Amino acid sequence: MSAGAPRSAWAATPFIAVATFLGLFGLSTMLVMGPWMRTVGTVMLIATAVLVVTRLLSRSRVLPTLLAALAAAAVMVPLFARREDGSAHLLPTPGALADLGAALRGGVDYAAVTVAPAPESLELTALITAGTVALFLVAEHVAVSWRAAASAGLLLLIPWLPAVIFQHRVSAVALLCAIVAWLIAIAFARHTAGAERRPAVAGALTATAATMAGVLLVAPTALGGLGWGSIPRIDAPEGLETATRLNLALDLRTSLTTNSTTPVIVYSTEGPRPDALKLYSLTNFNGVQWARDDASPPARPADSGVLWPEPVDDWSERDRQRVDVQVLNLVEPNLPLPPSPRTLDIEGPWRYDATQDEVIGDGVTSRESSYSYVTDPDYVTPRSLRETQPAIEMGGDPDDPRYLEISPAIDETRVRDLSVTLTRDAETRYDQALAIQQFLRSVSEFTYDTSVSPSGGDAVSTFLDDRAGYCVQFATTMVIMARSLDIPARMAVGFLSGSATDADTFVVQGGDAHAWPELWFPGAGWVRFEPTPSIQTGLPPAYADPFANGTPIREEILSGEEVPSPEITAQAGNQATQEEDTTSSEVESAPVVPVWVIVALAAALAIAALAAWWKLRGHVRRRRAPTDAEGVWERLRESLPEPMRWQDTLTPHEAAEHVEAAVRTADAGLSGVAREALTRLANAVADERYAPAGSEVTIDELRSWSTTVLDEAQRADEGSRAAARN
Amino acid sequence: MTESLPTDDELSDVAEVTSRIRTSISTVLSGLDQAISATLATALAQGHLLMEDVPGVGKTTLARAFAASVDCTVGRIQFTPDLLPSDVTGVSIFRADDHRFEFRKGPIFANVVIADEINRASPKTQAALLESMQERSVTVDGATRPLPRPFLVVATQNPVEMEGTYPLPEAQRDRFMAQVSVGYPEARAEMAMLDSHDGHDPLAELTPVADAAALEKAIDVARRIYAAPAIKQYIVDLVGATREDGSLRLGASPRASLQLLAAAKARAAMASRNHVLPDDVKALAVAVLAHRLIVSTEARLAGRTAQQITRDVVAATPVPSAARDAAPAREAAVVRAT
Repeated sequence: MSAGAPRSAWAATPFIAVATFLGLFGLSTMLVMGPWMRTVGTVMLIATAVLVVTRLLSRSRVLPTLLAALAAAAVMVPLFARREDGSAHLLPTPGALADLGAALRGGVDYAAVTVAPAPESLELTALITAGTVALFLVAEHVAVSWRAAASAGLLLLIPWLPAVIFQHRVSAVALLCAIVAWLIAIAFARHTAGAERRPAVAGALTATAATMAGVLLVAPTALGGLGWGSIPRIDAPEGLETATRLNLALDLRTSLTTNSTTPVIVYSTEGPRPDALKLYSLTNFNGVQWARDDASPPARPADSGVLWPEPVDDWSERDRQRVDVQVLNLVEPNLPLPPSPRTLDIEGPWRYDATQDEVIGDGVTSRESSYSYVTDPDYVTPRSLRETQPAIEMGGDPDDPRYLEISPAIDETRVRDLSVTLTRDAETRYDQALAIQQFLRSVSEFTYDTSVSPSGGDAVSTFLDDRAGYCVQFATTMVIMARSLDIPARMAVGFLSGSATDADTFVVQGGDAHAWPELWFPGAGWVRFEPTPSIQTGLPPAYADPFANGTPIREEILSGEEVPSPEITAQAGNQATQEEDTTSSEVESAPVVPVWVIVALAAALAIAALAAWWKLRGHVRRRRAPTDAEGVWERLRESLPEPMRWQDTLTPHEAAEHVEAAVRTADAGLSGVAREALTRLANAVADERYAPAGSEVTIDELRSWSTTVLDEAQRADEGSRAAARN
Repeated sequence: MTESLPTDDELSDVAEVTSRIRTSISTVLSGLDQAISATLATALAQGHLLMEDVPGVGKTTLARAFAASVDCTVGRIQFTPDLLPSDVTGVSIFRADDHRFEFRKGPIFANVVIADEINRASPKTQAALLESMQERSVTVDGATRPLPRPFLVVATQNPVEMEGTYPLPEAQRDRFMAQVSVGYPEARAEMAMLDSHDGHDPLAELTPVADAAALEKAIDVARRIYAAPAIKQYIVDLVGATREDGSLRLGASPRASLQLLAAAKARAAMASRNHVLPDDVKALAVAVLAHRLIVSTEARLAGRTAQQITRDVVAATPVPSAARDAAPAREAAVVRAT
């Protein structure tokens, strides 16, 4: 009688192990996933094997956990314990264990000083292995020894906590699999009163399938078909990564909620990194939101010489830099390009739009494509930009009035007064731009904050009041301030230059999406400025960095002390009725990921089919014809019409009386034959249950009695229903 | 302890004896079938009986009728506040002629002892009686003297609060296997009683229909009745349910489980059945369990009695078709191995 339950219980152990191991994916933003996971997996495997074998051989609660802990420690010694001279220990001697302890302490120290995501190191792997195995042993002990698998789930949640607290994106598949493993472990470890009851694996699988179906099909549909990207902060693992798109509807009223770590671009170059990679230009701003024009497809092929809005002199003599780009998960019709003149080497029907300064694919997306460009990152200097001043005064600006348009929703007077005050000592357009940029970058004036409060129709005024926002707010404000000084300006959307993975290789993640202002300088074209504070963007471009080139900028402006004159502040206070809030270039996941969808759906279907099969199997077994008095009795009870069914608090004889009374209520009562059959049946059941020798009635007799009773009972029930209808 | 199951002959003997006693009692008291059944079951299960009822409904008559129907010694103690323990158990007196103490047996040395209005005696005297009931022997002056077999105490007490009474505490009520309420007879039964008592005392006309040896044999048969694991499970469930019931301040004791099983076996024997049915347990549950329970204040204020609560518990407890897997046993095995 005790064979069933313990076997079920040890079966939970491997599932707890799987769930614990999958918890490592919850740390994916803190650790660089790598070969160390194999090491952890090996130690876990050994601990699991020891646990299962010990649990099969012993009924002790403590012994399996103890042995598994010893085994894990013994395995970790040759893996991690190192002598002073760096050689490995083979046997778990006291000295080896001391060295293992030293390795663990080293892991703690290492974790304390490294910046996430931490690269692999022996000490860190030792620490993670020890932590994972310890968590597993405790969770397994709680789940199997104490039959509290549900509570063990709380322990299994621990690795996911950093992701929850710091709002990192983690693998949804790993989380889902961990939950499924946990549910199955619960099913196996469940403390059943009847040992012969099967564990409720079917229930767990069905619940999982239903949940998955809900998450995959119902929820996105209910959310207006926003797709998988609308499930916040859960990202797919490598190989199933979501495609990434730039959100071009830059709305200054919404907070920045996603911080994607999906790699979108990888590029390699031997020179300095580009400042940024631009994809789009936006011109129209209605006070709270940027909108994109519907431009007609450009005619110029993308590989036809230097791509730049203005003619570039002596291109061949310039100091040029080559960059090889590979696009990973970016799904855009436009190519990421540096904000400087460049030549492009790419296959396919790509075309260049000089007005927008964009390279647009002809119905293709940039996903999975690779290309190279050659650019001159230093094509403008403070000097060259200052020298454009005569051309500006001669009317070298574009004709398009939209570059100077300020929406009526914006308090133009306030912006202009502020801009004029800031730039009253600037002699050239470049100095004006620099003054505005440095004002916005000043940490004593503005705070970088991804959450913004909702605003009314004038998000720029709200920003100038709140003094907090992120790239979209900063860039938009600089565009509007520039326009208020009659400088043609527009918004650029793209990515910052990302982070280095290698000496000359860089990866751009979804979270590097960015927006910045572009100001027009005749002869130089659209020039990027960087008003977003350095906490997010680092240094400004070299030509726009007053500290890099010694440009004479008034110190008051640099320190930000001068800037808002008292009257302007007062004015701002009076008009601070509208709040601004801003989205920065938010990354949006596009619902174009067939692999992920198909795999998930296939998994859901497979699990559902498995659950159905399991369920059906039990069903068939249960519906097999009863072979003893108990079975016949139970079947009779199930088959009787509702009012004649008896409660399980009745003894067989009481049940027989109940049936007889119920039939009498419905009809004239049972015939003598049926009454006798019912009594005999009840007697047989009572004998089988309670008599020392059991019942000697044959199954055929039992069935015939049951049929007799059932026929009369059903006839009586139908009769009483018919009578009720009439 | 594997004892042979009772044979059909033995069982029919028991049924015959008990049916004769039942008929005999019925000639004196009509309409009390349930009380008589409980009395007989208690007698066969070697328990003791507590009768609690208003005065004058026949408590003492029932006890005396039972005693008169069985050819055995009868002791009767009328409890009063000044009754001493030695008045119950007996006393050693000094015989001056041969210079030694001689034990003079008290009224408890009898097969059937009727303890009238037990709640009127002082607790000390009550305790003396209850100890003897439990031990089935009397210890006076260091000498232990066994009480005769069979030994049945039928105690009566009046529930109406009266001055100078000492209601039995719960711990002592637990010593009684069953409590029977006689209750007022139905109108027709009362008419019949008036007829039968008209002019003569039917109790005096009763002649014994069985002897102590037959009763002893019946007791032995009842002890050997088979109880399936499912029945024991059912009893454990019932008793467990009283311990968890919110309306009860005190549930039934493990002794209650034992006595309920013994009483159920006796009832099965009286029906000449060699095994217990849950019906037996159900029929006796109120008589065996109710008097041991303490009703919580809220439930008492709501007008519920221990009898009602016990009936509710019985109505709500499923009848097991088989003993459930003994999970605690497995847990114990696990603990032991460590």
